[in-house]
Parts: sequence; C-alpha cells; structure tokens
Amino acid sequence: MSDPITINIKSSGDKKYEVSISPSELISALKQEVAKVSDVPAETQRLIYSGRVLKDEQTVESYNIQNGHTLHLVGSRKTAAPAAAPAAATPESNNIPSGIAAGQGLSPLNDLTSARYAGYGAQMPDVSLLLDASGGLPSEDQLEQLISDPAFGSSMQMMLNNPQMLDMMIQQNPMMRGMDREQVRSMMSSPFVQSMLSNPQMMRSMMSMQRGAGGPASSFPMPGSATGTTSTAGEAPANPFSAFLGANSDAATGVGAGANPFDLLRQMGGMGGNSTNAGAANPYDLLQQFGGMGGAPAPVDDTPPEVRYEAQLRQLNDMGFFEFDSNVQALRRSGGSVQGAIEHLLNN
Amino acid sequence: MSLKRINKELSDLGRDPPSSCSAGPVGDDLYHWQASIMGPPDSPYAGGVFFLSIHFPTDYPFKPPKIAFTTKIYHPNINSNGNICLDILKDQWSPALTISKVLLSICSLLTDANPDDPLVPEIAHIYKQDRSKYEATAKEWTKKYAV
Repeated sequence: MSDPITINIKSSGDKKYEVSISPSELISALKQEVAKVSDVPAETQRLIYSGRVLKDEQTVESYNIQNGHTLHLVGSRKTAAPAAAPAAATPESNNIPSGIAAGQGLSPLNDLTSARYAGYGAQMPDVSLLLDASGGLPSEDQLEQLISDPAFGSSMQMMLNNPQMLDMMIQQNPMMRGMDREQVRSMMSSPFVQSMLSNPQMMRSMMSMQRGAGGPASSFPMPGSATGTTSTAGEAPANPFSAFLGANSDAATGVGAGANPFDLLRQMGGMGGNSTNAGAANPYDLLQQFGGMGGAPAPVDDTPPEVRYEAQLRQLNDMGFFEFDSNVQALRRSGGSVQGAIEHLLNN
Repeated sequence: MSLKRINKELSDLGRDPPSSCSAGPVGDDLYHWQASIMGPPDSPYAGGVFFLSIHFPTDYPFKPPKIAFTTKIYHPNINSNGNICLDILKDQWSPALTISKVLLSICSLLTDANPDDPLVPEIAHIYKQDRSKYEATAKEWTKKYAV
C-alpha cells in the first residue's frame, strides 16, 4: 500500500475540493471520497483527467495521476441539476481574448482605454523591431515608412478624440497642467491640431526640424534656420506648435521661449512605453515612444537583459527555449525580435 | 524541441488545468493527445462533456496542433467530422499559444459561435434566423451524445 496522495477536484461553478487517496485504490473508491466532500453522489459522478473519463474499475495509479494534480468533476445525466445550474460565466472564458492577445502584444494602453485600442500592436508598425538592441537608430526610410502609414495617423486621431487620454496627457505634462483644462482639451481636439499630428507631412517636417536642433538642445530652433522644409510645413508663421500652444495667450510667451513643444508629444508616447530618455529631444525618441504604444517598451540602454527583454524572454520560455544565456544572445543579435531570435536559436 | 515543449504543457495541465477543459496523451505517444471540454454553463452545451483528439506536428509549436471533436456537436463552426473552424488553429496560430489556451478558445467558441464564418452553413443560417431553434437542437444533441 503506497502513501496516499492529494488530488484536487474542480467542479462546475468553480467549486474546488481536495481529497486524499492511495494511488492503488480503484476509481470507484475515489468517487466515494469525492462524494463525501461534494454533494454529488458517487454513481452520478464523472471524473475527468488528462482528457478522459476515469473508469470505476481502474486504479488511480493506472491513470498516472500525481500528487497535487487536478481532476474535473461533472455530474452525469441522472443529476443534470448541478451541472446545468446557470452559474455565472466562468472567468476563464471571459479572459480568453486577453490571453490570446497576450501572445501577440498586449499594451498597457488597452487597460487604460477601451477595446478599440486592442490590436494596436498589429496595426502599427513596431518601431522597437527596427531599433537595434544597442540603441542604434533606424534609417530615415524606416521612420518615413512609419509616419506615412495611414494607421499611424488614424490612431493618433483616435487618441486625441478620447477624453480620458487627453486628461492623462494633461496630467502628465506640467506645462499643460498649469493651463486651463477645458482649454487644453478643446485645443487638442481641434481639427487643426489633429490634422497636424496625424499628417505625415507635418511629422516629417517636425522631424527634420528636430534633427537640425541636434543633441539635447532644449529650446526649439527658429523655423527655417534648420532646414528648408520647415517653411513649407504650415501656414503658421513660426513653428506649427506654438500656434496651438499659444492659444492660451497667457502662456504664449513661456511656451515660445523655454518649453519644448515636443515634450507634449513625448508625453503622449510616454504613456505607452516607459519614457526614460528625459531631456534630449530626439526625433527618434519621439517616434520610438509612439511605437511604444503598440506594446513593446522602448529599448533602454544599460538595463540588464532580463529586464530589457523581459517580455521576449518570457515568450521564448513559453515556446520551450529555456537557455537564458543563449536566449539573451539570440535576442541581442536579432535586436529584440522574437522571430529573429527563434531563427537564430534554431540554426545553432 | 517539440517534445520538451509538449512535456512542459503536459505537466502544467496536470497541475493546474483550466476549469473547463483537460487534456493528456492517449498512450505513450506524446504527439497524440485527447482532450475534453465541459460544455460552458451559459450555453446550450451545458452539462455535456465533449471529447477531442489532438495531433501535434513534429515542428510544434511552430505549426498549430490538429484538433478535432470526437463527440458529435451541433455548432455552426464545427462540422460532422468534428473539424473546427477557428482562426488560431490555422493562419492565426502563434507559437506562444498553448493547448490550454486553444481549448479555452474552443470553449468560448461554444458560448459565442461565429455564424459569419461558418463551417456548416445550414446551422449558421438557423443560428441567425431562429436562435431558439438552434439552441433547442444543440441542447438535444448535447443530451444525446455528450451527457
């Protein structure tokens, strides 16, 4: 006679029981035990393990049931009542979409806002894939591609139309917090600003302006001084952003001088990813943060690989790659792309 | 590679299976499993236990497992051979999915059929036109084959 093992029983309606039994006992004896703790008589029980219904005349060990394993209990036709009781929808079935989504890129944004944003990761080109692990910058072409993607524009617009989102932006930006909330909100939802932020042309000229500014310059360059493209950007006399930031006449001077309008945009992106590169107004940074909304946190230098690649490593683990070192190495080589890392791992 | 992954899924399922499904190898062959799904309480399949067969490809998890019902079931997305019309079993498969997640998706398919992408157009038609008739038939089949 071997030592008794403990078996968990899961029943419909999320009821759980625990029974202990010797592995050499018959299933019929197990059912008697289950009958004691549940209200289901032994003869109407169906016990399920490993995808099969356990037969009375078999022993527990013949099914290879281990200590701590879980069986399912279902009432059979004689007592349709317990099984058919309209229990509240099981949480498991409700969770499915997010569970699946988790595999394909879940963004913290999804929780913040509504289901409309689910699947962002799929629609928006993932900038983090373009970025080298070492923090290398993507080529201009790639950025061009990103900003001219219609999905990018439309998601910008969706964001700006969401009052919750705006509130958060306002909260996060000290400059805007000081301003009248209503005003900011109406500013941000004005068609002008929206068209600006969702217009690839505009983004492009913003980028080139920023490039001209170079380095961690905190003030905005004079329009036209950097590149020629600026002047074509908009009807606003100076930089297009001062136009709307200046809508609040009190703040106008302050904005023009010290504050960097890009902060605003960085804030927007920062909500999705983790905004770490404070200060330096870098056009790539900006776009990277936008991409961050799609789910993948922007790669940050000097963080240990288990932090930087946390999500990817977990994904690799889920797929059955358990070697930490080679996983990290593969991810480094692929620049954080799981797909690329798998290819590397399989080829070595 | 695939064996390691399958073994891991097996031990996870034994220890902590989802509340409405269970699965395990049929015999010694780890590439051939059976699974059971308990009809969701808020569906006409409530009270039924449905069995499925699972075949893992040798390049699992890079290719999806082949899953089919072995218990007859009346559903717009499941045909009389037990084949299931579910995107994640075809083009939407991802190596990050597991059997447990797939079975849960099938559970939710039982609760919420997708009549706009049917495998059995007749059932889908009834589902759309006369929901109570669909539910009655589904209940009847459940009673007949799965209880």
